[in-house]
Amino acid sequence: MLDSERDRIFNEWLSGHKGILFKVVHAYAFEHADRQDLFQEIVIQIWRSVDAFRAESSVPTWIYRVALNTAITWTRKEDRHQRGKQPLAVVEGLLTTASAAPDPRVEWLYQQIAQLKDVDRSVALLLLDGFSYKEIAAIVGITESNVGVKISRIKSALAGKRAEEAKP
Amino acid sequence: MNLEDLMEVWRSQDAAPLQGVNETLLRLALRQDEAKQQASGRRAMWFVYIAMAFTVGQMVLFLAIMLELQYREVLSGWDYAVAVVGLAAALTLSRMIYVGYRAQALREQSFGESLRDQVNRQLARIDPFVRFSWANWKVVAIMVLGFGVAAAISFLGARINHKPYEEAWLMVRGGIVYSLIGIGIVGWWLRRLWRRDLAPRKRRLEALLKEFDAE
Repeated sequence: MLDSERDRIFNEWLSGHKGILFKVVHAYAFEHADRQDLFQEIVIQIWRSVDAFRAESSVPTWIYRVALNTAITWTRKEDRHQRGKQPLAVVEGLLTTASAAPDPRVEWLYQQIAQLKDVDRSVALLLLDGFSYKEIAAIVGITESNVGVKISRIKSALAGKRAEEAKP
Repeated sequence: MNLEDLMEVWRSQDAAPLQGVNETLLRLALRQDEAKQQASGRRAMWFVYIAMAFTVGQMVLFLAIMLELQYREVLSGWDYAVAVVGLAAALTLSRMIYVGYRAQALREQSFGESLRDQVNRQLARIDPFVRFSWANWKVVAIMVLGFGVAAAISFLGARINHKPYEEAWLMVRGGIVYSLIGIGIVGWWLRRLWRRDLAPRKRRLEALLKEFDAE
């Protein structure tokens, strides 16, 4: 693939679906520096994945897949540095703050997602973005029935939290 | 609030993203990665070139030594035997390293694209370091073959200089001592890498794998 063609596809993907990247980054990293590091890692993996995309799945599914694959095995930059492994130089200022204040309901959802285990977090993100059980099973690599079990556990955790917070 | 309401709230981010991206810095990050990838590709190519040069070099060396010995008419049964054993060891060693390298690459490619496959692929990258133990026959075989090559070259090097057999065998012992020191340094470095980086990573990945099946 020509570099210009790869650039064009990547730009299209990024402008159309960067919301997916923010969602994954916010679900797996909690400090600004970590979010910047993870975002950079994900963007690089997506850039590298352009050549491998065969249009067998939709672009959002592909981007979700690459982003979650990166996030789930991502290690904090500080941890890598402590173990003597040189992390990728993070470009400071890569992520900027949004002009509008975040919706408190969205923030609440992220707080609940953060309390889930790593694999359940992926399932929760895909569920909230409307992926079917079959698609979630294929992206995560588990059976549909296991997806069902995980989703019902996530739903009851969310409902329990809402009920707890609604108590006077 | 039911699931549909939560999904509605969740999708509101698409219209008003939580963050923005500095496009100029993003390009810079990608260029950095591209440069890093190219450097890594060049290193991998050099590794292949060096491995090929090493294999060919060993054969040329053995051939040159044998021709020299034949020319000087100092060849004896021992010289032939050592040369044949050394050459066989060099060929087997090169083949084992190449086959191991290929097998690892194929194993990593065999995984699919799901999250679980990604975790398994990461684990497969750690596996060669787990297998680096004296209990593994392949590691022992590589070490023995390495000694064999070093010993044969030392022996024939001594013979080419008209040293008596006693001195030639002394050279073999010297070669083995140097090989042992080299193996000791590599072993220490691998143990350090394992303890500081790979073992915690392996534990984390195995815990993740368990999470996939947890109900």
